[in-house]
Amino acid sequence: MDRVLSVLLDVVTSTLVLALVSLGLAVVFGLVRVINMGHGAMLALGAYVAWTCVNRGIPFPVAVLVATVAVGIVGLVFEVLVIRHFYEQPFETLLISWGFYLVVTELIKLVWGTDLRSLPNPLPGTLSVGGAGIGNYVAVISLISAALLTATALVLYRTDLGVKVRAMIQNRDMALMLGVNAPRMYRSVFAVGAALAGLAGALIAPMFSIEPDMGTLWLVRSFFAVIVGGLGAIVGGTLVGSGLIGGATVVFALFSKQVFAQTVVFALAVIALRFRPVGILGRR
Amino acid sequence: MLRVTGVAAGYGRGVVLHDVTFSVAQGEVLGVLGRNGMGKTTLIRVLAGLLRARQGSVHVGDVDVTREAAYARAGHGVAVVPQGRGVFAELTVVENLRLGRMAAGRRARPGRLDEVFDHFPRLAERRKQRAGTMSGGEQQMLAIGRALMAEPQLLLLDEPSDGIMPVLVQQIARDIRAVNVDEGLTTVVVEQNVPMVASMAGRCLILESGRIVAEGTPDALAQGGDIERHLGV
Repeated sequence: MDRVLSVLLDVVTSTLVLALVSLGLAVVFGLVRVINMGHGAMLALGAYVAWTCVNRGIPFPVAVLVATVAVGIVGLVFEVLVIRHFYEQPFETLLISWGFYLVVTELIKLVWGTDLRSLPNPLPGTLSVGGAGIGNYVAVISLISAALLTATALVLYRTDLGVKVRAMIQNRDMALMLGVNAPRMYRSVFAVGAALAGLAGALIAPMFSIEPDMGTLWLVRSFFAVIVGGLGAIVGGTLVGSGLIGGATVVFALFSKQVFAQTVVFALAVIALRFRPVGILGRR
Repeated sequence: MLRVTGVAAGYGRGVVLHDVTFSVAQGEVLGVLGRNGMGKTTLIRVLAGLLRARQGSVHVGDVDVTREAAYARAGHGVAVVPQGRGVFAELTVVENLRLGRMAAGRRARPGRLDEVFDHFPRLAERRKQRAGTMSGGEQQMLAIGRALMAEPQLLLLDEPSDGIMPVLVQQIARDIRAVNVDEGLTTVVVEQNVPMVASMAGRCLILESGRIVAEGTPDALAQGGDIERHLGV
């Protein structure tokens, strides 16, 4: 029974950690239809900014805040200088954001080097849940992820801003004719997506090695989570996709090595997309 | 209220509108008639700000809005009911109407929602229903209601009879006319349906190949043979 509960907790926390990492990508993709391949680099940048802050004596929570704002500003500048000229050109934005990924990753190598770095766990120890153990820090970032998903859902479904955003997704021209300032909204969404990537990078930094290419695997996993969950289904899709990619990896890893489990999950995701290209909760 | 002067517009290298000039007085209903492909929807897109005029100018009241984007024109009181209605299918009736109220900004008045429900009682009955599940006629009412929520000074309607059951077309025309009378709302209606426009508009233009080829009251255009000559009806 403890074993089952332990696996269940692993599934839930893996889902929520992946959802945390994927949310920024889902927000940008869902709202402005840009597949931001730079998301992985923004994640790594957030981790390095947090690492630098902590090593200069800044408390970890403040370091996370600094990383969030800093990467948000980087995203804003990228949008203003480059991306805004290419909206509604999906291939161009895909290539440009991949170029951004490469440039930022190389800049990270120039500034911080290629050595592996790590951050100490800010909340060591474990929490006992019904006899199963869960790391304190993993529990906290799972809660932060759940809170962010809830907040996003509340903004989308309970506020005027959310109505405007959903209108914009459905019919951009009509939303414009109703006074929705699309350029400003796109800019804000891109900056928020980048900030979420920075936040995620900073929060997962104590759990994994920090290295310049750390964003690659997370980019692939979050990309799969977003498209399997459903195009445009920002909150539900992210959660369902993260559950299928993150949670299923945990389950498959019970019977095989982690790498093999991940390969199986990606293969299953590709098959799922073959039969439902818009994702599980996506609408055409 | 609306002054269009020497407007030329098009897509890519193609020019659709040529030297279009007309004006609409405060509270007037102007009908713009024309067959398919004559530039009626392009004209609405230019007036709404979705398409930039290559030449000429557009004034709403005293404001030159020629270079303003669509969202900025909404701020000047331009409301649009586009062809196909443009309701947000995944949003509820009330959410669609809320978008109109947000467009009104400082012009928004308390009680406006009730006024719109008075005009269109069917919307009140279906306030929590998703717009995409409603009939074409109900969606048209919603699109007009949403435009009214924006407290417009100028209402632009593009083919309001499109996709509506014939039995409802005159009802929609009566609704538009009632709004015009009750609120003194300046209105431009682009249509192919001549009887519908004739029942609403005090004056009409006929567009052919992107140019204004005739102008006058519906009766004068009919008696002068312009409607038959240019529209084939």
